[in-house]
Amino acid sequence: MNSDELLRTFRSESPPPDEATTQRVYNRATTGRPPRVTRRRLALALVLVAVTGTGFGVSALMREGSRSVSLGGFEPGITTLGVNPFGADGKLVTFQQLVAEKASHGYDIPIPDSPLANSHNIGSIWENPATGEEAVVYYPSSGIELVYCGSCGVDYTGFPADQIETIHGIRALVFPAGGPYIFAAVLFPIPAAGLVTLLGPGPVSDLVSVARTLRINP
Amino acid sequence: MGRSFEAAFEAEFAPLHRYLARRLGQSVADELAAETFAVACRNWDRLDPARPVRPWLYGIAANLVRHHWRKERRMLRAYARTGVDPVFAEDDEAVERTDADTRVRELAAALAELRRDEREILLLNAWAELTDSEIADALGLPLGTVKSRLHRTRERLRNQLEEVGQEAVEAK
Repeated sequence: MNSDELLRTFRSESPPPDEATTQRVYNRATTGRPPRVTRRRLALALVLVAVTGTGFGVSALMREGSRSVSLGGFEPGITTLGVNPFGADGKLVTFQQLVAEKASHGYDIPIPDSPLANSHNIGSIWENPATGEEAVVYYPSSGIELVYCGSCGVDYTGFPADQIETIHGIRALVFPAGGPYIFAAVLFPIPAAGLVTLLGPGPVSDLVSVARTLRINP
Repeated sequence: MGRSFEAAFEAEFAPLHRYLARRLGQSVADELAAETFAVACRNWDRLDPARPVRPWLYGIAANLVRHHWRKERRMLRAYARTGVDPVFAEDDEAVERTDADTRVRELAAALAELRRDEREILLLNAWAELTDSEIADALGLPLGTVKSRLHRTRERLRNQLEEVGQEAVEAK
């Protein structure tokens, strides 16, 4: 038996799902059961910076007017992309609705135009109407998520040069997957939009390439 | 007439579940297949009617499988080391079964050491039976990248297994 045949037959005795499993999965898929992961991903993205920065004596900051507030304790990393991160507060919206909603809060949402993330391959968009500040856009074909937070910012102090990438003249923090965070992440603070966090299962270079396609207004 | 989610579920659930079970065992397959179809159902109305459903579903599943790649690697290594496949360990009859075939165990070892993206492409091809272009669609990769990685990965597996076979012959 050659290696291709060996591979094809490897675990081929694995049985098909039974009727009960099939019915259970179908019911779960079609009844809109809430996703398993409902924690607020946005806070986690920022906590990532706090945790990563600890060794350098820095922290991520969330701005409240002119006041800076350090983020709180550490939570376990996000394990799933593409699900509603806001729990019961989450609301599915279209991209047009998102842009309009953010504009009403004074934010100009930058739109990526990359093969990995563009206006034609958007999957789901969740918004947190409770705050009006946070939204997540998921691109299922690449697994990438863009997390928008209007009132969030980043303190770069102490981060080594290899964790900072300049994109459109703005310094972004880049984290390959498998560090303090399961996914690759790019934290990209944009003046008109707040903080845009890109998360994805692929290499961090994918996220940087997507970030470079964001159309940014001054 | 538009495609229905029900028809897609009926056609794709069993093969997708079996593919996931071969990779990670029945219970994880239950969970990931359920999550895959839940995501698909939520996004069904947004799916481009011109886009084939199958690669889209496997693309969603691939994103979920990625979070289990360390577990998959551990299971493959355990199989290579012990001859007992953890994928079947939930099955009481299979738990005692050992596979004495050195080549199968070496295959498990070789699969364990592949990079995540290499393993993904190889198994989508060999177990899910997706074509190169379907894999490219599922993973959002250029077709040329899929072809070259698949070719390279198969070549590596072949060489590794040949080396093992050679060593076995020399040892006799």
